[in-house]
Amino acid sequence: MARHIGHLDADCFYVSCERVRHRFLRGQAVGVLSNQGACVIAKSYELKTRGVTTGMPIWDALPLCPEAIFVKRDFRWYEVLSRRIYDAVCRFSPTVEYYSIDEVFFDAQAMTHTEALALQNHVLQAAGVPTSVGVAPSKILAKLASSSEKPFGCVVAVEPEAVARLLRGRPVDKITGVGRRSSRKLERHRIRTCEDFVRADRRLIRRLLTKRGEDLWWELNGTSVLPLHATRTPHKNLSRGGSLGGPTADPDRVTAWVARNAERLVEALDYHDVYCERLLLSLVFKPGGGVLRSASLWPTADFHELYTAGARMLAACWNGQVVAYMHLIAGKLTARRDVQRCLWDKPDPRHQAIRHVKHLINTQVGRFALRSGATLPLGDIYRDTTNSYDICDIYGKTCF
Amino acid sequence: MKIQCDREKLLRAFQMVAGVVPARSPKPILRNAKLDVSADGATLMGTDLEVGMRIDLPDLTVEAPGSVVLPIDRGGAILREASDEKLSIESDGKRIRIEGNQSKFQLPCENPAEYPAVPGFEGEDYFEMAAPFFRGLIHRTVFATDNESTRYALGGVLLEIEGEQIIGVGTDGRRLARQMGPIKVIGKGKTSETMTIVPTRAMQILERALAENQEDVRLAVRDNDILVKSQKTTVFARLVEGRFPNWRGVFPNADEAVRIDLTAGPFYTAVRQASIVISEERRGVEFAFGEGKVALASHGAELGEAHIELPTAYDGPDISVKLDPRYVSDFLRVLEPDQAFVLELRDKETAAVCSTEDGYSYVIMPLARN
Repeated sequence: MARHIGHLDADCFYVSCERVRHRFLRGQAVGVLSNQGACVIAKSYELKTRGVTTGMPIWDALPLCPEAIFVKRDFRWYEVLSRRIYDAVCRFSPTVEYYSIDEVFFDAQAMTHTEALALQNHVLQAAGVPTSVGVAPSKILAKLASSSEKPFGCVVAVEPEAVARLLRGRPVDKITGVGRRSSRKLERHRIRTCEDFVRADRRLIRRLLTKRGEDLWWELNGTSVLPLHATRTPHKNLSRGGSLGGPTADPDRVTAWVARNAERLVEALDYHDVYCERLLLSLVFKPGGGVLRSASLWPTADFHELYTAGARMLAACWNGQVVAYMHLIAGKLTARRDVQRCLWDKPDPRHQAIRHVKHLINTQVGRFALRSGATLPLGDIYRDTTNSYDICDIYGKTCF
Repeated sequence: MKIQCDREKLLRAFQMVAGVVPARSPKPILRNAKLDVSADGATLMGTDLEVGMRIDLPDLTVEAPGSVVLPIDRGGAILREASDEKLSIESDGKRIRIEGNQSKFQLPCENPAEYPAVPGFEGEDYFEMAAPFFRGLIHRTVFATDNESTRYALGGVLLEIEGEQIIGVGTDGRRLARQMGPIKVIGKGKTSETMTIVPTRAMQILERALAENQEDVRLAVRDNDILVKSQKTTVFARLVEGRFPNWRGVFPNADEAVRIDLTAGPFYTAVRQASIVISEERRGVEFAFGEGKVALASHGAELGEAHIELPTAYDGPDISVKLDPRYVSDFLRVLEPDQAFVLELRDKETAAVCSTEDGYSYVIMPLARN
């Protein structure tokens, strides 16, 4: 029996999620805004037809569609529906890969078009979110199939003729993993469509796009080389951070962001049951430039250790420039199974007690209910509940 | 300034100094080496302001004394690529002319007066030790240092002088390497008020600079820097600021330990074999001693597993410890293959201590469950 790969992709997911809980948004032009409310991070098809693009500032988007309704993102709600979608697909497939918040790959076995439609309708019933489904011999073909008839499309392309139809005339940059630079390289060899790509010499593709390009070549030629991952492979690094809620040069605020990111990093390290032995601090300045510092640590997931190391790095590399973005990145992650003991690692019982109490209270009362006093200058950030949950807080995704 | 010199000899000195000169610097003059020529000879020097090196060049013919600043990249390339045995180097302050029988180069030059001073070895109070020993001390400790530690100043080798003994210590907090040996006190000796932590990079430069030296080296310790002088070479280094942890406290009580005699070469082979299947997630190797053998076991999850046995003279009670094989290998790599050492073990939670008869000790903390 032929085994095929399925790809299910939610249609304008964030907007669809908002429409599930706010029915009056259905049929309206809707945009979802970033946490600062400055940029459009998702848009409905109605808004898209008016020329609004993802990443567009709100002040550019409004004149294009004055009657549009804009809402702030809410990843906690989006995760609820995302998990419902995943669970719904699990009823149809023995192996499901939670690829991203709005996409899953699944083992489609010998799924027919009727069965794919049934899956699509089941997801709509279970989560209220319209999706597009593609079924094909490989992951990349399945993704191409699901995107070929959006929104609410359902394409089963498993026979050679159906695959050929899917590839014919489709621009090569529609292939996941072929970006602008790769397209330019391919263009020099007159490889412009997916059809050109599969007919091209494999060795040429390998030379132009390295091993990743060769993977795509095999996948598009119908040989599955990218496996389904039912669980995520262990992270090499864990990162927490992003925009600082508006550029700032206020030392108290910048230091408070180190504390906030360190607290979030501790949550991630605990979730993955790892310690880190390296901490990197990345700052991006406005109008440009930035710094990256790293510090080695003895294996730890302790807030005090991470915050102290982060604050020391900040003191060493920051000269009062306006900071727009900050990331704290935990590297050299080691499983807590076998922990490297250190020569001078006497854990401070006070820190351990605080950690325990913090975990208990935040588990029962809510995230950040008890937080470090070093985060006090960020009262505005904590008051805005959309900041309390980010896309990186949704665990288990295999993409990012 | 004008000299006649042997190209090969100057090239060797130039390459040594190039190791000190920074690859990039906001001060362009630091991308050069300075050649000071007097009637007695010449000195080639380079610095990045943290580490400096001076090399005496006695075997050249001085036609006119003076100073010149030579660009490290083009100067080195000319010395490397020229096919002449002898070269003439001349500077009028604006141009440098390098000439041989078959080649002739002209380079722009910077003002030698702007080149920062590179301290030379001065004073009557210093220490003296054999160059091979000091090179060994560096080789056996510098690999264990940690340049990125924020908690302690671990980015260098701690040098402690007690009477007529010098102790070098390098650590990254997970393992610690210590080498002890004899040192002669000349004059009053004199040590620093602060901890003498010599930066890792300076130690590596010193190790290279002393590579072929069999003579004694002089060591002068000052409050913020050290100077090391061999026959022709002087290295200056600013000390690492900060606090080195209490390294003496990490050596467990030797009386309670089980002692196992091992030989570096065969043990290193066994450790390398057991390391083949370790992964980042499961990086430990279990070392089990007893019944006249040591069994090394590793399980790398999806990578498979390995079980290696090696006969030993140990016949005491069974004892085992799980260690990161990279740390064990680091120690074994700096020993000669036929060198004997003693491994002291207590239990799974306590540090393992390796020691040789020539004053070298290495402490490794085990991997243990939380």
